[in-house]
Amino acid sequence: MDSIIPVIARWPKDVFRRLYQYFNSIKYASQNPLYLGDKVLWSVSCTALVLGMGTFLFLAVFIVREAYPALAQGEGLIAFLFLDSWSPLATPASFGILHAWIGSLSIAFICLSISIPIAFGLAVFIAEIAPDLMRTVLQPCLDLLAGIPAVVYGFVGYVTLVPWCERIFGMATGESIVVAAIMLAVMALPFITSTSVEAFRAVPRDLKEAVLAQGVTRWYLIRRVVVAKASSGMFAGVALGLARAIGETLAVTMLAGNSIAVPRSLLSRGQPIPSLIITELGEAGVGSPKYHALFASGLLLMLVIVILNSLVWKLRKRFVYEG
Amino acid sequence: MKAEPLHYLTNKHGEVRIDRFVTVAAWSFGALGLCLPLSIVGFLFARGVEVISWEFLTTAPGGLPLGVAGGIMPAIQGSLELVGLGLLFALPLGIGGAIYLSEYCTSQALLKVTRFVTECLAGIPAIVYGLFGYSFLVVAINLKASLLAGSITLGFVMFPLVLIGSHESMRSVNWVYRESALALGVSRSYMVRRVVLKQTWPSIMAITLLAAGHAVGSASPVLYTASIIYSRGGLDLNAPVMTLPTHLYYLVSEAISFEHAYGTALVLTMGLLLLNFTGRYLRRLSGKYGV
Amino acid sequence: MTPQRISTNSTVLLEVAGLVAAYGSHIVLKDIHCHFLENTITAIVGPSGCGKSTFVKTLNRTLELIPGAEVLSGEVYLRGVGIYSGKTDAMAIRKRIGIIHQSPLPFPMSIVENVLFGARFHRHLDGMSPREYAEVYLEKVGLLDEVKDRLDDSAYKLSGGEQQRLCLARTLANQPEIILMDEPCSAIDPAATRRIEELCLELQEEYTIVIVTHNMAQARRISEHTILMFGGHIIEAGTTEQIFSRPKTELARDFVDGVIG
Repeated sequence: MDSIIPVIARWPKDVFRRLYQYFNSIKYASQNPLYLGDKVLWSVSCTALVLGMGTFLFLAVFIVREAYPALAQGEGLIAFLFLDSWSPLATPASFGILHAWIGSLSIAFICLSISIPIAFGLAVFIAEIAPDLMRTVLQPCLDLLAGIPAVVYGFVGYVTLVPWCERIFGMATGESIVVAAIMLAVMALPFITSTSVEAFRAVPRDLKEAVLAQGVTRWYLIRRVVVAKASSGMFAGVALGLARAIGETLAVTMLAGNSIAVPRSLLSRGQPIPSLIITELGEAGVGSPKYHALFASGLLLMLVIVILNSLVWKLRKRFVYEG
Repeated sequence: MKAEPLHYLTNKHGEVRIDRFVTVAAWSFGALGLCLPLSIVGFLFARGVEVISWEFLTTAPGGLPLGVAGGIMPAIQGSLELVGLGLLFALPLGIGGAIYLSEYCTSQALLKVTRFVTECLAGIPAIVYGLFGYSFLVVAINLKASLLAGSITLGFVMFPLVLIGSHESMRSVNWVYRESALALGVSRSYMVRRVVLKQTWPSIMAITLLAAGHAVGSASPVLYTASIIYSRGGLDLNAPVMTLPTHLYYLVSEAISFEHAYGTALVLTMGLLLLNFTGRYLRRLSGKYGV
Repeated sequence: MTPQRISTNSTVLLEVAGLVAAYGSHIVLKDIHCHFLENTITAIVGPSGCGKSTFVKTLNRTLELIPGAEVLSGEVYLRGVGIYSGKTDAMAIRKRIGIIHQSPLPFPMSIVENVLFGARFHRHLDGMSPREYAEVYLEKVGLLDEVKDRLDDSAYKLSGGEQQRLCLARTLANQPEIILMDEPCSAIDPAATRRIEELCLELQEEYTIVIVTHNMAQARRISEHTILMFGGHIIEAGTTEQIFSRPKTELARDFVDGVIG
């Protein structure tokens, strides 16, 4: 089209014109205090952004650098993840984290299997079935659940679930991955629920009315239509809950026991990655192989979160308006 | 045509029965959602309220082993100091960055990348920040386990939350307000101050409180960067501090005193709930000139 | 309400030469040439989508505030000084040439603060009490009697027509020379529309007004000059009387007869 070419041909002239205008405006602004506020605001906010992002770039680079030795020597990554056991005191000392990430996965799996059904059921209730009074009461309750700090959850689990486990299953100490998973499920619940409620609410009202006008039941509507439309949001909620479950440290440390063996059953003890880090960090001399191994586990955690977050981004695009 | 029997109009088939069952199930989920948080808080309250007293809140732990008697004042003080100082780092960087992203940034690519990176950072487990804080701040720069190191680490934890929250609230200010204001010939900073920030400041305050609450409750960033088992309190940048979550952890893991643990847990929870409640109330505060 | 005072000895206040503007890669204004005389009311008419709003926004450099929109070439001269040249400051231009939009958009502040928004920045208050200054301009738009007692109330409590007059007061408080109006009456009721038209005629003594409208009757009621646009070009420009009774081009004839637009 003949209108595009003149536009493209103007680019270099535009760039120069813009640069010229910009420098002129700086000159003008520095002479006139009325507009100096503009330049100040721009510089301050730009610096803030650069500084903020820069320090995080530094953090990422730092962690990768410190993690590298653990992954590079020996058989490297494969040994770290799958072959070595965690035996710092053996000779030769080995720092594989097989038990840790299997522990993390099993706890996350159990946690999600408990949390997801309850969260979805609660979300369906809040979004579709609850009368207004219940809704206004339930919202603060969910906020309450989300607001209780993790250590307190660990503590509550420690004084309630652990002795209960000991009594029912006759164990010496009740700490186990199932107890940790239950408390984590409670912690993840508000996140999965709120995101799912948001997703349900995003389903257009006229669509629901049109379906109900066919004379079907509410559950039929939910099952066949609403869930389909809100599914991406529900998955996003699950990903968020999962991120919380994987990253939680002190609560699981108090509840899962601290065994360096790979967990074999629901009642066995485990040590997910965050617990490993926090327990072993105190005794890790800077620069020692254990230190590098802990950084490598931290790096693994970061990667998992980045992957989960990319998933959430892709899913959220489908049910939230792009702004 | 033969008249159909009347129950043709009442739809008794299986789908309806399932619907009734599901409704009952949903209500039970709702009841669970109601009981769960209330019972947890109620449980803490019941066991912990006996321990709370003026003495508990204002004296340092004592007794043998440490923590059996006395109070948790230094822990309260330490937590507040850590978070307050951390906000000094996180707020200017977070709000300033949000202003740049919403007012000056024209490149969509930069915006998306920054948001994605920041959201990842918000999701990174606090222990990773603790790991970084320990090895870089405490050891490498030799700040030692101190208030300064701990607050910088907490600043790291809070910065992504403040940035995302402020950016979201600034983004929600309709663009036509900006255009109208600039069309009157005012400078951009004047417009940001009198139109954008004026509308968003309750929301930004709320975000700050929520981020602070999150930081107060997290123990893993401060365990190795700032905390110590006992201190008398005071404000020394180079000295380690007690914090509420680490004190709770200490009381439980060393099996020192479960009554005091309940008290500590109750104080921590109540404090956080107060912060969150104020934050959400501020969000709804739009002032008498609200849109 | 026929305003046919053609002011003789009017100077050319605003002159447009070769203006080309685009949204992204889509060119909206193609080579516009025209001028506006001092203390006159000029109406810009045309079918929807012909570029009227875009044109009026280029006159005070508010087009560039829209993301993606820009003026590609051409110049607008205010009293002989080009407003797009590197030496001119956009903020000063917007002070001198004010604009009112289609939907009234008061800021979330009190009525007084709304009026004073730009005036405070441009330091027009100069010792006067803010309330007095605001009352002067509220009086000018005929709003003072209605809001005298509730100056500190939120601006959102006013009706649509009152809000539009508030936006006009806000623009007047900047002490501009030219007031641009982009279809100011399309979102308000007929009674309020009539008040705004009366205001235009009153303000003509002090200001120059350019009003975009799709309502031909309105153009005939208040303007002395008319510019007819179609598809990003100016088809015809001249006195209102001439365009509506003796249009020169066929396109103009079709538009006036109601065949197009």
